[in-house]
Amino acid sequence: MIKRVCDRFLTAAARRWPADLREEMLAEWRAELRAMPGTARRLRYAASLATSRPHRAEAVAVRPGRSFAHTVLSLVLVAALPVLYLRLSVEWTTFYDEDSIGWQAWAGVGGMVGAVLLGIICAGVTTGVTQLIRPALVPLWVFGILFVVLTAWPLVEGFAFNRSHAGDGLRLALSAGLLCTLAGRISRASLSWGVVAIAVPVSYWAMVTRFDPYGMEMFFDGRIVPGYLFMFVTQAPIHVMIFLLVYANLLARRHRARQARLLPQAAPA
Amino acid sequence: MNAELRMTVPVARVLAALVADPAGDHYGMALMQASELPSGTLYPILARLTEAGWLDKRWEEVDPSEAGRPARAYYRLTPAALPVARQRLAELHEQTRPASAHTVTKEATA
Repeated sequence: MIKRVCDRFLTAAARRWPADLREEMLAEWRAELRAMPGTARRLRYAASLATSRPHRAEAVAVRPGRSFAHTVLSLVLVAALPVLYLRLSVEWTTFYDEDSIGWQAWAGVGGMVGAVLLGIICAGVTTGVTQLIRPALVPLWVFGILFVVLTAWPLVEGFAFNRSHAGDGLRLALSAGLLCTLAGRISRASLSWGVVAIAVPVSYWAMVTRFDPYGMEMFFDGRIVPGYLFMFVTQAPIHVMIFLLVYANLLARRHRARQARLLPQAAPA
Repeated sequence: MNAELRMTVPVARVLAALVADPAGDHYGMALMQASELPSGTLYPILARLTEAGWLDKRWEEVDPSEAGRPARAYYRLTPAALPVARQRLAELHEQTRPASAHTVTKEATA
């Protein structure tokens, strides 16, 4: 256990050293740690390295202008796209009849696929966000913006503040933010994306607190499951959550992958 | 060798430990004890001194599988750095002498 903690400290320390020295310093520290008597001394040795600065900064291209521009773009995308989409989707999600239900179902599926693609594209054009915002805080950034936008939007449109709507938005943002943080901490891709997939219905349910087919089963010969599925795929908030969750998790995972490429592989001490 | 090195107290402590045994091979733990500096302070100084050409760094020639431990890194002052280090430490010692000693000396020679 102590050995693992010390190795974590050393790895974290090496991460902040210039790339050309990282491997060499890590090997040297591990050799010293191995020769060092006493658990407390080992811990102190490793912790001191983990909390100190290297003698010169890591030799990476620092582009604060680009990172700032990406962060501003991220703010615009996360704030504007959901509002724009929710407004547009009103046109096709507020009426149902026998003729429209077929294409509406396909439009819903298309909306989900489009949300994933949009999340991938937006994460690709705003990679500099994680240079200014720590990856662990990306969910807070994304869903914090969403909460502010959802709360402020009715006020901008001239409606009075509605505590119930604010509560809905808060539950949505909190549940999605927590699950997205969890997904970002899981290194295994399949598990991480599995948590994201679970986060979509969970966060939506946290917002609406109940979910029923609203009589849609009558369009499906009285069958409940297709009615539920139809309602699920055609919900614009679901599409928005897919977009934001994919976006936030991709940003965090790409940052982690970049860090892993820079870091030498951990070897047994 | 870059002689323009900022002589801080931690740097002076490391240099003093190295000058005390200029022919010896010093490894990290021994230098931590001699200089009374934590690892987080010592290693950046060692890296800076090495890059400035004041120190030679070499790896212990040991078979890790036989020794049962990885090879350690050794540091030693370069021949060119040894007189400079001694001089800089002497200058520092002179600058940090109590003021009364300077005054007494000046008054005595006046």
